[in-house]
Amino acid sequence: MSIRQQKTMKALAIFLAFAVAQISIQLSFAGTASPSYAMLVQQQLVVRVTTSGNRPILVNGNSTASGGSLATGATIETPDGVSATIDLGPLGTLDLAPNSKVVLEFECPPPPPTPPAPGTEPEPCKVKVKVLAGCVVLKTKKGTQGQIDTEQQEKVRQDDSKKKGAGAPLNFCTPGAGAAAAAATAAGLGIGTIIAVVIGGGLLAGGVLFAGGGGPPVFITNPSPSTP
Amino acid sequence: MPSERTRHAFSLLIPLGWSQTALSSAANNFFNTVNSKLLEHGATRLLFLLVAIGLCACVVTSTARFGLARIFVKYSLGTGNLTVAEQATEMAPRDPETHRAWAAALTLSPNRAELARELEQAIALRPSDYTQWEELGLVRDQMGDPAGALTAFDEAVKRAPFYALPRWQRGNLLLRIGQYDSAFTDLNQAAQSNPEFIPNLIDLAWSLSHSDPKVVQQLVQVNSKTTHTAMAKFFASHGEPQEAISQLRAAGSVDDETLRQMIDNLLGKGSFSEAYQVWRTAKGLGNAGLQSGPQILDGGFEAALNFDEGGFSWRVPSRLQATTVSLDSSQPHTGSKSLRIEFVGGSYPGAALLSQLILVEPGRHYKINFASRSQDIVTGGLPILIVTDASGDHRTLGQSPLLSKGTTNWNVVSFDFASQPTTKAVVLTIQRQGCSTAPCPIFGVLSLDSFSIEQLK
Repeated sequence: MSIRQQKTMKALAIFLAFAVAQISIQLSFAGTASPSYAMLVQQQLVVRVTTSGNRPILVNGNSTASGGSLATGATIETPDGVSATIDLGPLGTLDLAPNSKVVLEFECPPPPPTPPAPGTEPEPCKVKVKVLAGCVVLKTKKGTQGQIDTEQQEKVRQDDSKKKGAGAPLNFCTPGAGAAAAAATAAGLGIGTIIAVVIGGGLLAGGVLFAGGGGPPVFITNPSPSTP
Repeated sequence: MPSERTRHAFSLLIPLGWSQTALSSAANNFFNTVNSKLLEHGATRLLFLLVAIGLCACVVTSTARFGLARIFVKYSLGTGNLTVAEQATEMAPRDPETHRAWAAALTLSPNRAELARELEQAIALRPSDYTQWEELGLVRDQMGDPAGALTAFDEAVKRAPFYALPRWQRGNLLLRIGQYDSAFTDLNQAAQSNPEFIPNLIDLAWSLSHSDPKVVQQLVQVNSKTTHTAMAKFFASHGEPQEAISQLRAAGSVDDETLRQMIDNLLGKGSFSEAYQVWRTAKGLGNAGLQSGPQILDGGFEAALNFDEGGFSWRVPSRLQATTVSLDSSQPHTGSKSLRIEFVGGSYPGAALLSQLILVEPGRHYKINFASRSQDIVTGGLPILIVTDASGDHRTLGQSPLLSKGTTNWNVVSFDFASQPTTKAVVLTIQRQGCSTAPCPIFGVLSLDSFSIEQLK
């Protein structure tokens, strides 16, 4: 190989190395440009929905079952036969009877930059429930102030529970909303019961009783409507 | 000696290709050996019999217990009976279904720890079932154990990596514990897999972004027509018309129902100009907007009337009391048709007989022209045209003189109105003026034609 060819080869090798390095750099930049969701959203309280029998309720008009989440300002609606509990985490819980509709707002003041002076009470977290229909029970934890409003802005304010621990549950039903009360008693298994169970179980296995709906307290047996 | 039937059954076990002689010889040898060595004593025979009966009884009992347990499982799942579920577990403790049924029945009780234990037992018996892990994750989450819940959801996702629900549940948990990056990755993948989650994802993103449409579009990373359509509808109904239009364009061609919903949502939020754009797209009329100035569409009633119109063309109520609205080609004022409204008795005076939504500019003066003709109109409450603000307080901005009673030829009528500083659209309505007494019937035929609007200097 002549000297000229050697030089050409060297130049070509350097050029290729440079080109590969450029591609690598560009790819690495492209990699770091993927979105960071955490940078888009401020830390805030997101609360959990639990429904009876994992049946769906409506959160802002969208079907939501147990394990779903909601942020402040959500409109929650329970259908007939389905109750729900909103776990507000450190703030408490909100129970909704079937056929209820509420607007739920909650907030906690940001932590002060400096520790508060001794003797001064920190500002409480607030939970505000506007009941549009149905019955609700609001249970707040220590340091949370609960408030229930009606659509007509009537107010039932819960005492600030900072000093005496958790506040008393606050019940409210809109006029005309029936109080949901149902108690089931579990009896021992006698022969008659067993016979009834066998017959009933057989019917259920055959799908006879399921045909009418009813809403058994079962887990999600249909795993996912998704495309696997 | 074995019977012929037994010998035949034995022969079936002999591989093909063996000769009948060899077969017969083998069968004979076998049964002779058994006969001679084992079954020749009565006590041995009895022992064999007892063992066989015992085995059968054992199998029958196990099968019966298993079957009964499964029936109990069905019953407890159907009724939520805890006692029956517990009984099923005792009957078949190695059957994961019984533990799962008990766990399902326990969901009604406040004892979450026992519920979690039952699920863990069911999982130990059948660890590959992702739904059980998912349920365990939910229960642990309810027990205030997010770390345990996350572990369970991780297992569920590991076993069903392409299914939506495990990822959706894990994403929600991660969201609540503030791990937004992982949360939205999971939520997006879940929505990608199952588009039913898209509206929930958009709503969550909207809430968490404090109603910032730009952030919502960054959080929802599912690039599909379904997502763009859902976002378009969402933004339209949440007062973000520009974003709605942008998403609608990204979605490409969409069905008429979606366009109708979009128009309704935009109109509901007072986004008249954007609704007009979508309406024109839906009608295939191009993108001309306000540039050509305000206009009354089909002022000559040349096109067919649509009783389902919810946009910017003539709106005719599908049910009118004692009134018939139709197109008439007998004696039009201009063009080839006019509108014919026939009154045959007691119609409600305040009801709109016909209306049209018209885009206008705020704080301007306009003039509406039209031609009317009456035939044998008899009433105490004559027809009239009214212009009202399409949003806000729906204030009346102008009205025509009362249309003629009796019989007249075509008359050209004009009236002015001024839009308010906040007015973006007006509604032109044909109705009747109220009577001084009730009832207020009307008889005769009113014909209308040649509607136009002009902006006054």
